[in-house]
Amino acid sequence: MKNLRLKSARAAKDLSQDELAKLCGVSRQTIAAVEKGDYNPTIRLCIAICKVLDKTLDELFWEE
Amino acid sequence: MSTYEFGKLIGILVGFVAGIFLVAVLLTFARGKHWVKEKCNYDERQRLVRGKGFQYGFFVLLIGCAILTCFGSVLAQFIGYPIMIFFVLCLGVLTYAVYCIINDGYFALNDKPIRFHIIFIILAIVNVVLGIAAIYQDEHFALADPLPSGIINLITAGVLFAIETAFLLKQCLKKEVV
Repeated sequence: MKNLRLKSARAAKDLSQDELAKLCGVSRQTIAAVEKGDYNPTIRLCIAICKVLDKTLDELFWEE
Repeated sequence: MSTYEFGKLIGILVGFVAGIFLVAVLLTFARGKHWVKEKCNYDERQRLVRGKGFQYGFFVLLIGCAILTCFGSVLAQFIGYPIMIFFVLCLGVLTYAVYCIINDGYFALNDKPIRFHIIFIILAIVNVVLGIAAIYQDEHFALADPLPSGIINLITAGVLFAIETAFLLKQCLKKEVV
């Protein structure tokens, strides 16, 4: 399932996938895979993404 | 095994050991001068991809070994055993490399891909030239020999060209998606 909340949070911060990837210490393809729902990130990467985007885990990764 | 073939085998082994020793010395020197980074830095998804790649490469190796066990004696009439084993090893490595390339797990975060492309292409061309030259120089060339001249070079060149082709295809597919 696509993670549109992550995509919109990234866009709100005016960051490209590449910039977010560098800030999180991963490859651009990994961020793209998380957004597309092709890859389930570890909690470590989720936290790193949340910290960069100033969001909570619930806001970005909790499915309702 | 004739004296000539035995000498050739010893020559290949000595060349292999000398190559490893040379690379080790050069790497140690380059690291001392900080020309190369200490280790490759892969992210969590890339490590998963590489693990899967190793798995598929290993399966290909197993299947290749099984085929050699069943049909090796028949194939030995046409191709020498060492060449068959080397070919199966190369297939395993190629499977691993292509899987990693397709899933963006081949290069580390701190790698410079262009450097690898240049090295791969130069190595492939050198191997093609050496392989063809060795075949032309060997008057007793026969594919069914245990170690026919130049064939290992040509297989290595084939693997390197296949890896570069996989990179090229990956780039083309990426552009189509964008």
